[in-house]
Amino acid sequence: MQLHWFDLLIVLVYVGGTILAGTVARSAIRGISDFLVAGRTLKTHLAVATMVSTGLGLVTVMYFAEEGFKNGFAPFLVGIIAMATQIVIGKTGFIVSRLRHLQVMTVPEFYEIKYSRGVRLLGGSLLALAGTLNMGLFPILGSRFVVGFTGLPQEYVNYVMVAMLIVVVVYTLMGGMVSVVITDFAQFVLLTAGFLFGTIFILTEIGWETIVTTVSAHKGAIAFDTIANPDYGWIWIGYFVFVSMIGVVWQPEMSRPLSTENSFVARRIFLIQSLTAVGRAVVPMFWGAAAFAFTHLPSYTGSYADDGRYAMPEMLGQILPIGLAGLLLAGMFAAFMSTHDSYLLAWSGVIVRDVISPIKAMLSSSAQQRGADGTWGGLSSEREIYWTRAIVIILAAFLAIFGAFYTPPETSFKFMYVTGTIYFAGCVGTIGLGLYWRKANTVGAYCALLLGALGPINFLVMAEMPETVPQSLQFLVENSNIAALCSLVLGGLGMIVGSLLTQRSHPARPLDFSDMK
Amino acid sequence: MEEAWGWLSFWKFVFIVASLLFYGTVTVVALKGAGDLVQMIRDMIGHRGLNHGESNG
Repeated sequence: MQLHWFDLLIVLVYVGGTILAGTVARSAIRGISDFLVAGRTLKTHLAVATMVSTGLGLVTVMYFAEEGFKNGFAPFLVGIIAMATQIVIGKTGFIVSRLRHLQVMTVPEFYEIKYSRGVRLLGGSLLALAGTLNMGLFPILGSRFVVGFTGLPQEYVNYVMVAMLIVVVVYTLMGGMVSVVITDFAQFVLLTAGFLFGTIFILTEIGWETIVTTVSAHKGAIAFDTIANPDYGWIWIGYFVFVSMIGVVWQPEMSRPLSTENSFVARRIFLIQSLTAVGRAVVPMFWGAAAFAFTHLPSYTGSYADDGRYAMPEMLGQILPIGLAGLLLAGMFAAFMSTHDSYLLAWSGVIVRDVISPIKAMLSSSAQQRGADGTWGGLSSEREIYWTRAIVIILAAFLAIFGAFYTPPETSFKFMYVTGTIYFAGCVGTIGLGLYWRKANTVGAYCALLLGALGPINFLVMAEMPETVPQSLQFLVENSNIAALCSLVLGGLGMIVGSLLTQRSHPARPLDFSDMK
Repeated sequence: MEEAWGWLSFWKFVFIVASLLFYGTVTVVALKGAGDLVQMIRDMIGHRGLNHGESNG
C-alpha cells in the first residue's frame, strides 16, 4: 500500500460528508417524483454540474484511459463527435424538449403515452437489460482504479468492489435523486481539480515528448490516425455519430433534463455541458497514453506494463505527491459514487415503473392514464419508492457477481456501447421517429424494439462462442462496429415498415406540442 | 508516418482547446451552481420538500 495516512484521511472525510448529506436529503423525499427526478426543481447550472458528473464517472475515466493505453491519440475523435452532437441537441432540442414537455419520469413512460402499455413493458424490459449489462463492468473498473492507485495486491479487487458498492447503495437508498445531485456536485468540483493536477504532474514527470515518442515507437501511425486504426475507421465514425444523437435517451443522462424546471432549461443544459465533452474524453485518454509511456520507461518497476486496465491508476499513485493523491482518490471515489447512484436509481426506476408496475396494472386491468401522483394504475407512489429501493439492492448484488466473473470480448469502452445499443437501436424508431413522425404506431414500435435489440445481443452471444459461428459471419464477431451500426439501421427501418403496413388496423396516436416552450 | 504527424499536431491542438473549455466551463458552472445547491439544501433542512417551485413544461 503506497497511500499516506493523510491521503486516506481526505477520502474518509469526503465519504463521511456525503453520508451526512444523504441523511439530510432523506427528509426531503415526499413522493416518487421527488425520489426519481428531484421534484423537477433543478436549475440550469446545478443540472449541468450533475449531468457532467454522471457522464464523467470513474468508470468513464477508466475505459477512456484503457482506450488511450491501447490506441494512443486515435480515440480523441470520440470527444469531438460527442461535443458536436450535444451542440446540435442543445440548439434544436432534439428529443429532449419534447420528452420534457410530456412530463415523463422515465423514457419508456413515453411508450405508454404514444403507443401502448405492452410497448412500455417491452421497452422497459430491454432498457433494463441493456442498462444492467452496460453497468456490469462499472464496479470492477472502479475497484481496479483503487487497487492500482493504492498499490494493493490484485487479489483484493473483488473485496474493494463489494465495499465500495455497499457505501453507494446505502447512500442511494437514503435520498434518491436528491442524494445524487449532492454527490454529483461534490464530484464535479473534486474531479476537475484532480484532472488538472493529474495532467500537470503527468506533463512535468513524464512529459509530452516522451509520451508521443513512446506511443509512436511501439504502436506506429495508427496511434494517431483514427481512420487507419482498425478499432475505429469510417464505419465506427458513422455508428458513433448516429448513437451519440440517439444516445440522449439513455435514462441516467435523460433523467437530468427530465428533472429540470421546463423544456427550455432542459435544452440549455445540453448546450452548456457540450463545452466539457471533448475534455471529458480527451483528458483520461491522454492519461492512458501517458500510462503506456510510463510503463515503458527504463526506470519502470511495476507489474502492469501490458495491462491497460491498471496502468493508469498505478502511474497516478506513483507520481502524485501526498495530499494531491488523497484529493484525486476522493475525487475518483466521488465519481464512482455519483455514477453508481445515478445509474442504480435510473435502472431500478425503470424496472419498477416500466416493468413491475405495468405488469401489476395489466393484471388489475386499470386504465392507461397517469394519476396526479405520477403513477399509471399499477403500484402506488409509496410502493414504487419501496420497490425502487429493493431493486437497488438486487442490482448491486448482480453487479458484484457480474464484475467478478465476466470479461468483455473487446475493450470496456466498446462493451459499454454494444450493450447500450441493445436499447438505443430500438429508440431510433420508437423515440426518434415516434416524436417526429406522425405515422409511428404500436406495431412499428414492437418491430423497432425487437429488430434493434437483435444485432448487439447476437454479437455478445456469438463473441462468447466464436468457434460455433460460420466463417461467412465471422466479421460480425471480430468487430462490434458493424453489428452495432446495422442494428441502429434495423431499429429505424422496423418502425417505418411496421407502421406503414398497419396504419389502418393500428392508427397512430397524435401528440400535441403546440404549447411547448 | 508523415501523415501521422499531421494527426498529432491536430490532436495537440484539440487537447489544449478541450482542456481550456473544460476547466473554464466547470469553473463558471461550479460558481453559479453552488448557489442553487445551497438553496436546495436550505429548503431540505427547512423541511419544505421539493415541489414548491414546480412548473410545467
